[in-house]
Amino acid sequence: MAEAVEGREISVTQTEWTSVLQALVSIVGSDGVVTALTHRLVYQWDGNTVFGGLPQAVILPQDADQVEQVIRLLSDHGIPWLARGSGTGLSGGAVATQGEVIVDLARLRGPVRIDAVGPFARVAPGVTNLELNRAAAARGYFYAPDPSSQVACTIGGNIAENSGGSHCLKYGVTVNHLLGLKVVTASGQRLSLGGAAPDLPGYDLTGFFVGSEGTLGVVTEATVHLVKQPQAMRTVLALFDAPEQASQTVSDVIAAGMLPAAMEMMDRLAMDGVERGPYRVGYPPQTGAVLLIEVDGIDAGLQEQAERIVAIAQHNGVQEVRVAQDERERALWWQNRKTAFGAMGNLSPNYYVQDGVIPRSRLPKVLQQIEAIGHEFGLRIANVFHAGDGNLHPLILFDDRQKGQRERAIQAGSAILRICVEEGGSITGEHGVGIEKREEMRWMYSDEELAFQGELRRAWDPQGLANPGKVLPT
Amino acid sequence: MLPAQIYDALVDIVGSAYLRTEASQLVPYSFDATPLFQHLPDAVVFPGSTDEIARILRLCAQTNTKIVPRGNGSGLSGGAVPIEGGIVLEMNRLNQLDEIDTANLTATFGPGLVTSQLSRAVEAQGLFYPPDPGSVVISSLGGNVAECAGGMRGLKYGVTKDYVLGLEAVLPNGEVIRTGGKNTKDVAGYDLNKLLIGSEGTLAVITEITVKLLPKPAAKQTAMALFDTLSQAAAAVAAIIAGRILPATLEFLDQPTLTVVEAYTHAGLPTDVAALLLIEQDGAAIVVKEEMERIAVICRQQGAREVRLARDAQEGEAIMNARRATLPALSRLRPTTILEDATVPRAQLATMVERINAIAAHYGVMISTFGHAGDGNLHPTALTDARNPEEIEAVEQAFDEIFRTALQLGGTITGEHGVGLAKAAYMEARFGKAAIEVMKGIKRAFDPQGILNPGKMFAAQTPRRVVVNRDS
Repeated sequence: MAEAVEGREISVTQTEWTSVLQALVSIVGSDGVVTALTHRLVYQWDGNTVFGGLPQAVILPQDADQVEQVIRLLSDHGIPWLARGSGTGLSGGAVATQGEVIVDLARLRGPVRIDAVGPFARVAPGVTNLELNRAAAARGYFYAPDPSSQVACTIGGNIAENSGGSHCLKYGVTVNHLLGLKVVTASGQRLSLGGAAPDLPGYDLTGFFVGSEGTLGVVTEATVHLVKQPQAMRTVLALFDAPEQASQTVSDVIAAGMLPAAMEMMDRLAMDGVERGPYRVGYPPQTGAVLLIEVDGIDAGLQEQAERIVAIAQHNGVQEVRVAQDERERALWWQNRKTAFGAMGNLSPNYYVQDGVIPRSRLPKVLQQIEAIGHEFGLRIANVFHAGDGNLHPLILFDDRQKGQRERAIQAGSAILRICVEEGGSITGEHGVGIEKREEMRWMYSDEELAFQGELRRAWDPQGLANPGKVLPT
Repeated sequence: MLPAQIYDALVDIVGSAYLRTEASQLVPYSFDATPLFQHLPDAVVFPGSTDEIARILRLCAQTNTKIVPRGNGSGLSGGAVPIEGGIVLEMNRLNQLDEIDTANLTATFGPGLVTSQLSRAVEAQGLFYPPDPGSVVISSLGGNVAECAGGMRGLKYGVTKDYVLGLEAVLPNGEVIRTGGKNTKDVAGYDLNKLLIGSEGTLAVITEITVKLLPKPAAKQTAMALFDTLSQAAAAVAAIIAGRILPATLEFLDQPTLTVVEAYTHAGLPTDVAALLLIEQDGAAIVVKEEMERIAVICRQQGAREVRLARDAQEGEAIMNARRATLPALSRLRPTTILEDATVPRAQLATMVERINAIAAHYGVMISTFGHAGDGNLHPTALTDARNPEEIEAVEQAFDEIFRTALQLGGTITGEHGVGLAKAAYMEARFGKAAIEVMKGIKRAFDPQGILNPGKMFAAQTPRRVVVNRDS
């Protein structure tokens, strides 16, 4: 069980705090201000589970006007705060490590408004990724960035982290699909950025805001680009002896001029986990690595593409290739892959996931290095990743009841990130820096560069109250 | 004129061969491809490395000297014009192609490399760099990044910002920073790439660029659809997109434009139509064939008089080159050609073109319209004479009304050519004060002294177009 960090006391007097709470009640209503300890405990962690913290209060505004008033009030009193969606983030970005007030956006919801001519959708930040996708699907579209947590994660959170997902190899990440944003900045200003028409003048504030991890302001509405649903899809499962052959297949597919919609890989240990769960696919015991490849587009072209991919896999010694026969089978394979993180619970009482990026060509080498790190720290590591864009998710298994294992898991994660940076990659592809990787930022940026990023942050948040203690090292 | 010691310091950094100070040598650097904006610099310097650029910027910071980076001067919004004098930093010596990484699909190069040079080099390796501004044989990639250049393939493939993975840049105080890298996914820290792309040379000087590449499409087919009315052509555009097809290129030309382009290029463009759609699709051969057939059907359903497929790649290329030559072709008609840039939602295309024609008639000015129909990005182009102040005044008024019309229709004042000098006053109308304040805060963080490309992006009032501006 992770230790709850009590958090620093906010530096306002009790009297002032009481009057702030009263003012908050008059903005959002009494059921929008949560102070009871048992309720605040629910907000201690996000999906990271290592870093915990207790917020002083949780506020639930219902619309953009209330968000603005809440932020202005907290700013006037110098009270630090942070915004939270569903709390599924994996870098501790929505955890109140300094006793911040949490502004929970769960009530900024409402129907997704789709403009089929655009095509685009206007969506409130509290809407989940899957809800947006379902609304788009009803009109023959989809929203491309599809993090595996999509059943729960919110669009606001996706924007804060610049989320990716399995299909971003072909379709790009959140920022590539964002046309416009309405935000309340950390200094309480309402901004309307971008819009429905492609908009390029001025500095790309939208592009800069995406991925800023809640440190610049709060999203109150997003206009996102939708993609037409492809006419058809082919989904292929390729089973290999070992990850090296699977990696080589990934490289060869791209070298052959094809860019599939998705190319996901799991190693033996990851497969063991998912096969014990409810979405069993049936991987033979001798399979060391599986590739899930999906191509989409005009039906006429897909058969040829799928055949070329199968030929490449065979050239690399594939054991077996399966092509999904129907939507039910395709859905099962995806469920199997997308529930991988949670499925680690079938193998171990605890797990810790990292999010490194490497150039695709380094995949086989880095996988071997990750294995060596597992041995070094005496922990099992399962590998699940977006093979097409070199984004790794090593799942480090540990038992918190065993003394020292948690610490070793964190150290192993950091060692893996070190390798990623050495190979020309990044410390995070989609989960964000949050609290977790602040110090590792020094591996990527010089002190001057970090100081400069801090200056840019202050242009939006002069008082330093928006999610302080995240992203930049102290 | 700058103090003598600044000229001495510049010679020290780049060598006397790479410094220009004589008035006659400065004139070519006093304007770019934007008509009617001109101002002499006090010096032009040609650095050969990032280190030299860092030293030059440090010198400027120490002496509070203005400095304007320049690529090949093909920009259309006055971005490279040194309106407050100072030093022009000509970047074209940094034109090396450092690397094409075929395993990871990236290319790394200097900002002075010309776009078509990069395209040819990557295509020779079976790869593809999609952004293709019309100026592709002239414009530098550094300029493309500074303006977030678009191009004819923007609808299907996106624009420059969708391809830039990493940059090296020098801040106005001489500090060198790196943003991003070679990774297609990277969320470590704030995305400075996004700030620098499209910053029009006002935040930092870009000294190295890494872009992502795509595999080269196997096949390509070009076609022309001929229409008797503007609204039919616009309706066809909407119908193609609604039909879930994303062509690589979907360009629009009106009759006056076609007449002029055909006279210049003899590419075989029809001149007896009200509007022409130029369509190109690429991808797997079987996909291209099927989609072009569907496009032809859609065009005919919307009333196209005829749909002509190019017989081969050469004919297709000739047609596309004719489109790229539209601006040079138009510029032959009158002494002054003013190409503007306004974008409206696709559904408003026909309305916008009709309003442009009505506005031109009302003010008695000649305006031809062509553009990237798929994106709703139009280039109303005025053909006029800068020596006639009354006519220029009428042109100014016409464009003013055209821009306001675009905003009214839910559009924006620039699709791809940037704000520069020409549209700075419209920024507040489009964004509102609060957003402009945030942008100014960012500008101050990068450039507290305001020495880098001053007077661009944010303006106190509408700049007047004058023939030549020079400090006495």
